[in-house]
Amino acid sequence: MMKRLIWKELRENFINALIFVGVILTVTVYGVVKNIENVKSLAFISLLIVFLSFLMVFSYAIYRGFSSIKREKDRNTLEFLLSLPIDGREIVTSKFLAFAIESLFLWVCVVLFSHIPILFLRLSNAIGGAEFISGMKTITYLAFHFFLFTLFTFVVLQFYEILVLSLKTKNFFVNAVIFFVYLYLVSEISAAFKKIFSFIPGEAPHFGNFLGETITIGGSTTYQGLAAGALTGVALIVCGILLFNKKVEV
Amino acid sequence: MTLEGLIKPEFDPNLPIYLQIMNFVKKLIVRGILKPGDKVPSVRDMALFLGVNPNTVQKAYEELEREGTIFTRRGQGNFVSEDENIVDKIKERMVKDLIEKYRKELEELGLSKGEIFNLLKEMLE
Amino acid sequence: MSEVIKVSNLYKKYGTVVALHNVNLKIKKGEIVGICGPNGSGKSTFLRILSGIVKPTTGYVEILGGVAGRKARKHIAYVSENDIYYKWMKIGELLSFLRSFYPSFDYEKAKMLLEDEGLDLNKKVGELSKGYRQRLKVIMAISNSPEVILLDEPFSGIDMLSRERILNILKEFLIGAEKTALISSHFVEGIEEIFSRVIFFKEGNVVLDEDCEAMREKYGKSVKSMYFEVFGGLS
Repeated sequence: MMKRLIWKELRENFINALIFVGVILTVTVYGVVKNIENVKSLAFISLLIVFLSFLMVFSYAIYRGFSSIKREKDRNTLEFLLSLPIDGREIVTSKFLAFAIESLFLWVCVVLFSHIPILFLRLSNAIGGAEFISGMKTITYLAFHFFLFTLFTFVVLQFYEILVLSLKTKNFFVNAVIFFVYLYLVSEISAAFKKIFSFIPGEAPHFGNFLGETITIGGSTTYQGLAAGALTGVALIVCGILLFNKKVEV
Repeated sequence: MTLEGLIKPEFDPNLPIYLQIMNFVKKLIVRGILKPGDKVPSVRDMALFLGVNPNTVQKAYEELEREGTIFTRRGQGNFVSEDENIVDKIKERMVKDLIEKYRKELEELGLSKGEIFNLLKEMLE
Repeated sequence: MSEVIKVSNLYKKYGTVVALHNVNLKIKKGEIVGICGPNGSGKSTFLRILSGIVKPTTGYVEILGGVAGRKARKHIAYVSENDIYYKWMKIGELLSFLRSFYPSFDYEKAKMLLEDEGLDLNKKVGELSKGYRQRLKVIMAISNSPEVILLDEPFSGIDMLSRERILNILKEFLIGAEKTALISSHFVEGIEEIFSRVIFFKEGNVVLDEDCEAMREKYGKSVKSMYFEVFGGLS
């Protein structure tokens, strides 16, 4: 059952993945070709690919998280799903898992493509082996954190979608207010969870030295933070399922 | 007997269908398609053939049994009465019913018994 | 005979609109029930609540011994009025998809029925005309050999040939099989003979609940004539 549901989700969305890969590939090729003379610029292109991908996947996570169920409702396929011997449990988790698989695929592509410019530099001996490895690490860890964050974004938006469908509010401003209140609550809850996990020591592998530049984004990630994020995500999925079963109708 | 090759009768949905099924079975007997002692098609087969609810066929069969037209052999199904006169008896009943029906209608038109008789004589010659 | 469906004090409201008022019914195993009424009378809502895809506002609905919902759906087939399948799916893919949800899904039977109707497994659902989409829906519903089948307007808006074919498929499946069926239909010609019982809905209320043969004996009226009498010829 779940396999089939996930297959269905992937089938419906694989075009998006292809387009994304196409865009990133184009950006990579263009970036490398344009900056082939300049060491600093090429290195920058590697990072640019990752950041650009983040923007794209982040927006995509919002789109998918927020509109997936609504679109099924509009096309009457939600009625089909509800007529099957399944409920919110399968529907909500299959959508998340499918997005996770897709997202993983996208980020793996991003990691591969973003290595191309610095690989270029390494092969032309513009940078040394150690530098190359630190560059690889930075890119990979950065992409990994972004991957987790986009997963989290999906889950946050998915619950919001279920919330809006349950409340049956149609007004844009009302929904916008609900959204901001909701985001505030989620951040408060995550912060509370972070306190619970305060016993977990250490920092998660983080992006550090990249070709002489230190990369950080608003401070380093801790394992506490990751655990809190994971717990919040799981809580949102579980609550999403409960709310879906209680309130979402066709 | 097999229902294959028979034409499915059209039923008037305004009248009880079980009565129409009873007539259908009686006609089969009169026409000799169902002979005395023959096995009558099962409720299910008859229902499928006629495109009606099996309960309706069941009711028809029960009524036919009450009349004595068919009987049930436990575990084997329904059979046409073995009375060799059954065909004649049914025919007689059906003919009488038909005649009674049209006599009533003709009387409603205002014809007297004598007029009906003469009209019949004329038409049958 | 056991009661397959029990409905007590069913009340359903969508926002401020009341779709069903206090419906009380019991349906036994093997009954083939016609559900008739004008648009908006609550027939669809009623069937959807029985299938578990919509929940009652108040009231109790029991089907196959359990509350209407997820578990019961393994043995219930609900054929919606709407086009609910994924348009991009090929018919063959739809078969595999459904098969994974219903342990009792008869794949071979489905393939055979599809072939009889001339439905190509490689065709996408979206490419089919309405009549064929409807046939597909009914075949998929039957292939699971459900104990209860709920059909919402299976004959509406389709060509006469499709209608006949669907009628035949349904008759083959239902007659003599002890399956319980609820069929909502505006169109009763050729189908009222298989109904054992008919229920009329009007503005969310049950206004008539009769055994068909009893109705014919008592009133000398077919379901169709009764419909016109109760609803005044308006649809």
